[in-house]
Amino acid sequence: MSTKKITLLSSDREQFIVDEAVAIQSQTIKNLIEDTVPDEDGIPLPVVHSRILAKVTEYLTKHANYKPHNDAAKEELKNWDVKFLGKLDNNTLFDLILAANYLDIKGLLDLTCQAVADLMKGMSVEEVRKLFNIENDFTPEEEEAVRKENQWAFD
Amino acid sequence: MEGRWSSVAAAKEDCGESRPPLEEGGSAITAATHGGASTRWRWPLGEPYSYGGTKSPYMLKGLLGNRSNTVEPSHPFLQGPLGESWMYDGTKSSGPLEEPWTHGGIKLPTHIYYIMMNGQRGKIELGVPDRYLGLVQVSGLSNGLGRATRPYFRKKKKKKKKIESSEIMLPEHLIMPHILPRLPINQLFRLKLVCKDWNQFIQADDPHFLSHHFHKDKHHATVTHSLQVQRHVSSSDWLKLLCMLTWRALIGRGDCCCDVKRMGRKLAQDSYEKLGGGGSTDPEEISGYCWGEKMSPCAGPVRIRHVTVAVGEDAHSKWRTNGRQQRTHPLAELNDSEALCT
Repeated sequence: MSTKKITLLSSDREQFIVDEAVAIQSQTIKNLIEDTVPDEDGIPLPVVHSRILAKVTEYLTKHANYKPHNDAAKEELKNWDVKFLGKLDNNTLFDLILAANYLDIKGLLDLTCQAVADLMKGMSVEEVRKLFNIENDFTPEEEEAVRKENQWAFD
Repeated sequence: MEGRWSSVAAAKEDCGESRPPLEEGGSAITAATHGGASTRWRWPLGEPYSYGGTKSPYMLKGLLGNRSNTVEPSHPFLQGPLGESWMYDGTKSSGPLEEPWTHGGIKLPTHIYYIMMNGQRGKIELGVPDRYLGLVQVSGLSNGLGRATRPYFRKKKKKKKKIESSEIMLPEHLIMPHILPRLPINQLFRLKLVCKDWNQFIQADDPHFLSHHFHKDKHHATVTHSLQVQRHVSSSDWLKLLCMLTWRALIGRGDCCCDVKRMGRKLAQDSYEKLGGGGSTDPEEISGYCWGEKMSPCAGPVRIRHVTVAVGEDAHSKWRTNGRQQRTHPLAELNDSEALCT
């Protein structure tokens, strides 16, 4: 069986050769295949580093070859997703979200965003600021006002 | 004096908190070490202490994990394997020490010496560790002198994970619509405090935001009520209705709760006004949240599709006076109050 191969090119010019069926799960790649004449080396993805693209193709390959028909298979795929996420540190996770967003892979975006949400559960405001590198731009008075207004959430 | 002592010594690093003194096994030692006057003696930091008149490379500083340089003068600093105790200045201690030490019925190796912080910063005590925390192993040299090198027992790991600042900034257009709606509602509203942009994004009275949350919040029960609005309801009636629906929804889930918290009320009011309050008689679709005391952490959004309301004066007073009567309240006729939990 001959399947068309697609070569993806990461930002650091590393080639990833995948089946077309795997690659076109990404809407962005699908559009690129249809609309553009591919580079000699492959389809350039200038914002995705090879480290992340490896993860993305790992995810796509699993999900392309795996069409769950029954509950057991779905369960297995879910377990695989959990394992897949378990190996990631925060920075990789964030990178994956960026890549999933750029490549327009809904399943991966949902998965990773849920992982971040799970990570955030139970975190304090300060911890969340730290996680996302957000600076507190409230004055103490404003902060107090917001806190008061939403006192129910702090009870 | 070729005492082959102290190939290993241990110091309790964590001296900040007070803890009970030694347990049974260490009592003899404690007694011995507590004898005598106890004026504080300050060990010069970085100064090697002497052993038998010879300066040793063994730094007290290292032994104590760089925490302190104070010892009680009456305490034997180290103990020889034959029961002799050695003071920090190299002289023999007068206090008899039992040998070998035992701790919890287990004989401790005689070549291991434990130096403990007895709860007070800067005070060390010779003894048997009651907790293997922050002990320092001193690498043994042939002359019995050593240098504190590494923890003898590994410190217990703190359970709470430290959250490291991420190097990568996620753009807000990803965090807000994709991540925030997946959080439990209580925490979400706490996170209004994160920064001004978040505060603006997380709006209780923004139906768009709420419906977004409604779709994303898969981890919490979603309760669907189908009710038909038949006539005009005032804001307060609406409010009560929502409270009731909430209550019924929660009952439907098997959780007993008849209290809708403040937020639910305010939200109900806001969404009423925003979503075609003020005299609409048409069936309307309204999203709102509710939760109750026993729900944890939130009951999830309640989507009310069609509302049937019959307003009556009696009903009002009944509602106000007896919350428990909500179930049979004539204010609203629920033609489909099935609670669907997903």
